[in-house]
Amino acid sequence: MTSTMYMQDDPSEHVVRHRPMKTEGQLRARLIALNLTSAGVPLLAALFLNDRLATSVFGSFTFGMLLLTAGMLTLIVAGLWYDRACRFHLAPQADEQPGLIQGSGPGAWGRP
Amino acid sequence: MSGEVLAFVESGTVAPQMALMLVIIVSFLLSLIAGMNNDTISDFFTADRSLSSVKNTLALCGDYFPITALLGSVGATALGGYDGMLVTISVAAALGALVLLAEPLRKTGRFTLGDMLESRVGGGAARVAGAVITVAICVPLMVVQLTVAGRVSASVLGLSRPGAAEVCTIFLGLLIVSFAAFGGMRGSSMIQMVKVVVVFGTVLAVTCIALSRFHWNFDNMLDLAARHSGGAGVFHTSGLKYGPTTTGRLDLASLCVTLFLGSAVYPHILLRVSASRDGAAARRASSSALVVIGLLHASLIILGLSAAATLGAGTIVADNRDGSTTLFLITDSLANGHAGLLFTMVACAAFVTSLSTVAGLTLATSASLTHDLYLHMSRRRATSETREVNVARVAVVVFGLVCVYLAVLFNQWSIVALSSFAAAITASAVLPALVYSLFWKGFTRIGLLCTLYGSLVCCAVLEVFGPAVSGGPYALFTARDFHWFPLQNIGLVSVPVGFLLGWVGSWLSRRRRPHASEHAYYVTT
Repeated sequence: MTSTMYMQDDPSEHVVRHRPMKTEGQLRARLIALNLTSAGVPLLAALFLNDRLATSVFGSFTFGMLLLTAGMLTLIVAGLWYDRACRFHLAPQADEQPGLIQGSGPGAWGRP
Repeated sequence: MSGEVLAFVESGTVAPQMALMLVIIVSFLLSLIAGMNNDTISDFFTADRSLSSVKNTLALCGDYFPITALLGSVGATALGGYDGMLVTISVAAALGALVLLAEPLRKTGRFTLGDMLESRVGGGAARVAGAVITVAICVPLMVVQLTVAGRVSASVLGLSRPGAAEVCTIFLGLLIVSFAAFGGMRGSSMIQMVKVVVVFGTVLAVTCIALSRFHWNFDNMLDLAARHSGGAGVFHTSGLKYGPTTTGRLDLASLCVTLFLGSAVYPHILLRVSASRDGAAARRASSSALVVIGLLHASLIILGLSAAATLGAGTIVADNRDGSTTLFLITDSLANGHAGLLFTMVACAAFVTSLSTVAGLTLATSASLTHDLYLHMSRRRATSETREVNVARVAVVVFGLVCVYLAVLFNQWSIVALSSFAAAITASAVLPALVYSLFWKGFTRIGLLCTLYGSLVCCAVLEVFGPAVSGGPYALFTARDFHWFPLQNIGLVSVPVGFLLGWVGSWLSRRRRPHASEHAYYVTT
């Protein structure tokens, strides 16, 4: 992986390289949004909802506990989804990238 | 004290003390056997990146789960209700951030924080700054882990004489240092794997027994937990942990933000991620660890609720005011006839947890001291691999002994300030530096140094003048009060400051030198 490779400006290479980068960015943005939502909503509820958190949803299971459970489940599912999505959408293209060797690779911002 | 039961009750087949000795011997043998092939620096610090995906996931879970999480989560839920559950879930949720960062971090091909940052901006200053931050995080964390481990071991073994906790701390510390020095990353990984299996199995078993006491009626357990803690209106709303005031709520938010952003980027976690085979393996290990850690924390929350329902807050606080012995209390309460076995399992889980976490921290710090400071700063790059491994072993021993000494010194002091400080630096300095260097093209060396040193100073000032050091109920100096910052957890202020400093530093340096980022690019390629 050298700067010489980066300087090569073959348009066909850009087609192969840019598509996965865009997909990776999209996947990452979705995971960040999911993570922030699932961790942030119960926290915001603690800050602003006060007694409404203790509202019963069914039996002794309260609204606050429902938020916490939903948040944790969303985080776990989002993590698994991200890994699966990266494996299916990114890995094949990443292998095609020139100069990418096992053990060291490009920065996530797209520099080779 | 419930722990005294452990010292006198026998399980029928294996006495608890014998079980602890067995854990020590097995751990020592494992680290010796695993560490026999530590010939190169890559072997010693990253196990030559040869761990399988399953082993790596288990080891990551082990590194991620310290003794404070095992003992603290149950107590926090039992005493804090909704607040405690929120804090516990924030710790587990931090792995979501690691899922994002693991692959790009592994792709840098480096294994210390300084090394990773240097790969982006170049220059020795980044490396030194990384090493300084690593030491600033790991020393307080080590002291906290060793202190808690010493106190818990003393109380579990029924040693109540003055100085017993200090003796336990010294004994544990020396054991861990020898494990880390002999075993390196391979030995540490083996102990982490054993730890996860033991801890997960024990917590699951105790949770099942706890639920069976309520005839698997979760609703009934929740109802009783709320009734024993002042009613559903108190237990299931926010305010039990820091009070229902605005400052209390902000303190809770600050703690959650710090844990959510900081828990996944501790130096020993970064070292573990860098020991993965490749980027995809690191990402997969993180997402699998999220599932395991999520389940483990869910079990701990159920145990906390069960403790609140069975014992009530009064009994727990009477035994230990911060609730760190709740796990032993609930185990004692659930025991009924087979106390020895259940207690032995929990004691072994706590013991092996403290062993492995401190081993990971010792390794991460010695990696930074050896690789970032000794090799690159003392201009001895041409040194042989064998010499480098020996230097690493010496660094492990020296750093370990210093931390044991500090832990003995701090044994009777409150450790809230230390743990809060370590968590705050991780969230405010390490996370912004890593996020910017991995995902922002415009990040410069000045920006990096501003983030790292600026956040360190910001955290130190806010911590020293906060209620964790003076004026608070768990303050380091209880007799003095010079605090002006109202929050015990400083992350709500220090994390935005860390991100802001990185951005401002980069912006200013690019204005002064328009091609700074291009320069950084050429340095790194």
